[in-house]
Amino acid sequence: MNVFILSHRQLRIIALAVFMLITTIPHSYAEASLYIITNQNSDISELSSNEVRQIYMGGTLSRKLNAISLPVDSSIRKNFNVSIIGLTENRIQSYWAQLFFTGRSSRPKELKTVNEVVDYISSEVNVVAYVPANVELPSNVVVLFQR
Amino acid sequence: MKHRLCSIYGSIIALSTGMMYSKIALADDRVQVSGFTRIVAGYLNTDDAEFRGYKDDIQFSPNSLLGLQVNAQANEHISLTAQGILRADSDKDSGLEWFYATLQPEDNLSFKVGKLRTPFFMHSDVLDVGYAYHWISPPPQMYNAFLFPTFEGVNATYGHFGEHYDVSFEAYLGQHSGDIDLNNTRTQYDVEVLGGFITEVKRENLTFRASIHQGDVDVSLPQLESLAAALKNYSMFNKTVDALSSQSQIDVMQFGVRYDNLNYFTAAEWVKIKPNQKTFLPEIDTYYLTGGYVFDPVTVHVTYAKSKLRYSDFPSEVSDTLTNLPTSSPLYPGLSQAAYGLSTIENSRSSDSLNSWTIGARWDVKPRLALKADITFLHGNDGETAMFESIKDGFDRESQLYQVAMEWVF
Repeated sequence: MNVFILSHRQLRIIALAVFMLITTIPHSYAEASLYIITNQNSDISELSSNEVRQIYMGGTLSRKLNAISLPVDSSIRKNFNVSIIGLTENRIQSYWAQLFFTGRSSRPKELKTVNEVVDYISSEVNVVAYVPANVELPSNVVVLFQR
Repeated sequence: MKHRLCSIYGSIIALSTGMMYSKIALADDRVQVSGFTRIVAGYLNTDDAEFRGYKDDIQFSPNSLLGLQVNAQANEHISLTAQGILRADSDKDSGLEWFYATLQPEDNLSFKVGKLRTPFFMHSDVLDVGYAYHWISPPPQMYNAFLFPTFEGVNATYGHFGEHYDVSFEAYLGQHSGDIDLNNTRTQYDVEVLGGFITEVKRENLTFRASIHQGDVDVSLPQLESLAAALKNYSMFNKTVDALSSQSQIDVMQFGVRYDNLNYFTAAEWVKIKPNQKTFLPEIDTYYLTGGYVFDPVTVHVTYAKSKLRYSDFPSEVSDTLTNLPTSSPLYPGLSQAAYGLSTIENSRSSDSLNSWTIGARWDVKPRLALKADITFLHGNDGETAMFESIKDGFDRESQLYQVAMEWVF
């Protein structure tokens, strides 16, 4: 009878490979760190990760704080979707179609570049946006959350 | 039908051109024009029956449609929304599905007044926007039950959030008249009062939704009314006369849960529809379980759905009286005709219990454009209608429905 037995060494290699696979999946997404920013005169001083998610997914908090997004093909947007929303762009779009066509909420406003986003935040209150953590921020823009 | 489809495609082209201009003309963001369209082709692999408009010949009309939505923001607190649908199926109503004003006096409180979609189940108010869900057709056992898709009235939504959760409470009240498919017949109905209460809790990627709804419906069924009027003259069959009443209170209970992440999703929904008049409206228990895996941009999914329908029989007082009556009695001919009428009504009721498995794939070609393919394996019980129509003798209530679709929102 042919019995398939793995040696201890082979088992260790397999265990190590599985471990590396599991631990590297989340890291491969988390390339850059993000700031969630707002104007210093907004009615808010900090946000949790879940509150940021609520704002971008049309939750109750999105009525108080308007969300700003970057274009769909932006790598910063992809990073934000993966690390904070936890859904693919396609799933988010599908969810937004549901909210929008049932009159529950409107999609986040889209601006073309990070500079435009920072300028907009600098001039409007009660609006939040995500930007890469290496961006230089004007003095009237504050960070509410970072990842 | 072909003419209607052509007009849909024509409208899409006209609209796409129009949209380019509207984006410029309406650059002040106060008026927004958006829309959605779905082109669905389906084929049923039997010639012994039809299912929801599909047969053994490729059909486009049952689910293809074009929807347009216009939002106008009057000021910070008030906006107007109109959504019109043009359906390829001329038997289904085209026209304004939503037409309402939204008032938002506070950040966490909003009111909608006007013509609204009835928010019975998780996908009820977004059924026409196929892009918003993974199937081509949500489980028909639940989403094609005999309920009233729209109402005229008011809806109030209150939201409350914490660091880790977001809750919304929604209540609505209204009325509606229209027609529905009841026992495979287009039937007029009038809902004098319709109301409901919905709670939705979101925590990270997990959503729970629980709701109750109630409506007082008056269904126009002439055969019931004439039989009740005839039996009333005997003054001895009050229970049967009551059981022939075309008025019924209908209670609906729903519970749903959904979990989504980057790699997979899973959802389940359970519904009970309970009319207090169950001689011609069925009590329905239905649920589905669904799950899918995301190989972005492709999602593959599988769904099991089941429904169980129950009716009440008419009281036996008419047939009991008839059994003890000599055939020479002057009452005999009339009562015997009434008994026949009652059994005809019982036999003409649709017995739509159905089990189904659906496997499908959705390919998100680009944001706001998706292609889908679904196969649904339908299993009904012998001798029942099982949601099939035009059933031929010998049909075993087993069939597969193949569907492909293009979903687009703009």
